[in-house]
Amino acid sequence: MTDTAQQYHDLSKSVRRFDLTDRGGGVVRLNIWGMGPLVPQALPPDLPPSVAERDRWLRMTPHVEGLWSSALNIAITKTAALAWDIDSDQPRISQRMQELLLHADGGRGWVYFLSRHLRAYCCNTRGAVVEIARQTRVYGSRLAGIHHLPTSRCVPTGDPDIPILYHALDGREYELKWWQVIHFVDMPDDEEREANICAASRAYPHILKLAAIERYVLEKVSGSRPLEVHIVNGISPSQIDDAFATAKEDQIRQGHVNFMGVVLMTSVQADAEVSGYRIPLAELPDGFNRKEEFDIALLAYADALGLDPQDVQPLTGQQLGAGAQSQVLEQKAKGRGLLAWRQDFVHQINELVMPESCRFYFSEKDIRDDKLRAEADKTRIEAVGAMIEQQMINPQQGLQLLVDAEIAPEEFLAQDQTAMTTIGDDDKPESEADATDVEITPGGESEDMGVETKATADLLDAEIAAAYALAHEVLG
Amino acid sequence: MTPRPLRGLIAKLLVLILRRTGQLERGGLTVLAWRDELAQGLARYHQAAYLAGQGGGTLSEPARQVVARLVQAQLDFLDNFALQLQSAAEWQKRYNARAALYAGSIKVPYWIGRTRMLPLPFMPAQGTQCGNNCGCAWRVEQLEGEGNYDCYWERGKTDSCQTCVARERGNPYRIREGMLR
Repeated sequence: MTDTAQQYHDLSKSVRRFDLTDRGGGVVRLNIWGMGPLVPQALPPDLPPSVAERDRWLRMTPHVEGLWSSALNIAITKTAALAWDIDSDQPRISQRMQELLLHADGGRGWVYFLSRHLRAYCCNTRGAVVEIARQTRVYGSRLAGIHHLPTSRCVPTGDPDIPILYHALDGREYELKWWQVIHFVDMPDDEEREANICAASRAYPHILKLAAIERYVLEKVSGSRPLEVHIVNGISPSQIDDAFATAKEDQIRQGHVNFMGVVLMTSVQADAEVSGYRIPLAELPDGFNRKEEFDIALLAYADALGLDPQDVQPLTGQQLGAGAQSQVLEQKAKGRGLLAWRQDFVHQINELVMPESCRFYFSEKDIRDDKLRAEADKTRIEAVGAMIEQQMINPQQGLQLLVDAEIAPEEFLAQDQTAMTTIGDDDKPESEADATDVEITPGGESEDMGVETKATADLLDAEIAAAYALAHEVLG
Repeated sequence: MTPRPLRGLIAKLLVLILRRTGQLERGGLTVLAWRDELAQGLARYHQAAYLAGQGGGTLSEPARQVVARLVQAQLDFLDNFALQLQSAAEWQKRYNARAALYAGSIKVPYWIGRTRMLPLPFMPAQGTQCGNNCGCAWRVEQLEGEGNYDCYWERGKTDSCQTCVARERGNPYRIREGMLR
């Protein structure tokens, strides 16, 4: 294990150290804290009003419904696999920040950390909590690591100074100050009643339905429980038994062992005309189309997670326009689901984890994005060219426009003529110490002023005598 | 409407620039030497222009700082130009025209000196669409009381650019107690 890895395996600065019980001998026991079975038989039709109970059921949804589990996995994997970068003009600091993120969650790694975090974000009304472990509890203390904290043991307080209380496995409660924790929530409640809506909440009716359908089909096929009651008159139980014995032998011969699924209740009157009643205990509705229900549910899952529907259901045998449809859906997906999480994540990491000199961002290298950008750039360049041709602007101004549009590099200009009036949400504003003062110099605008260098100062001193002579000459 | 002293300085600087640029074109100067010669010329003529604008006298420290920043801006442009010349496959006539434009850059320090470093928001040839071809001027009327002036932007040519036209519409620019209102 390298020194770096060893450093980040140390949980002594994290609140998670209170979850570990040291039994001596170098072995630690991690207590499993939970209530009820890990995998329930069935989900409740209505989620309970208590947030903690609601989240308990929502966390179980991936265990109950396989397609939802797969869709969730796709959403998590796509996001956890995103490339990211840290910009800084101080390489040592950016390297340290990179190591911090790569060894997140006690050294388990970035992908593991982000996968747990995103699963919590998607399956908890209370969202996901990230601990920013520091060397001491003091604000601004050196970073020691970042960790995912189980949402079930994090209680939001509503207090901006102490936003989270962590219930450790040692049975005690620990306060986490605002600089020690980041709390991410999907669709936050505007009334601050914790009625947030996570992806699992949004998809819950479909999860419930699909789980029930799949279970019905499974039980019907496997005969694991009765699904119908037939009341039959005019036939004796022994005749039924003989009939079933024959059928059973036949089925066993064909390899069908389970054929239950129907309960037969016979009447005693053997001389009565054979008749019967069928009472379905569980049944699919008339006109039920499994594929349609399947498609509806997958679309709902994709919507809830902000995925392109084709991510969860690839186009197979679909009609024309599939390629263009993919492109359109991809563009539309840019405004959905986990994109809000990404923006929030980048903001919070930059505000609370990264130092002033560093900027974290996700870097998407998508050829389609590059192509779209190149097309947009080409249009802009042609427009600027037309303006220059028509002498609406001069070439220098045209170059300035292209620099402002980030098509041409800034270095092409001697000095950027336009003041930057907007700042992107992933830009960090300069600190006061870093800012270059722009003042209105008496006698002129600031934008034509450079920043004097020593070489220039020396040059001016060397030429001052000749300047006096010249001025005297022209003034006569 | 360019004042005579300024015209004289521009003409002299233009001669210097065209001579050196011609030498560069013919291979008689390296790009670096050409750049240094022009840098010296710009430093000399910017200071001279300021002194001429204020009608003689000396260059005060605040004035020197303002002129230094103006010179620095021009040197930054010049360095860019030199890089392009260095990497150019062959000489183009437009390089001569581009070099000549630098002569007009001394209009700004001249007018800063001429307006005695009043806190005016802009100078002729500064930030205008017509660039160094600007022929506009400031007319300053001193009023009663300390630091009170009315300043008028006067267009010198009938074909003034939109920037200069807009500036003229802002007349008068009032300075009261040394501050622009």
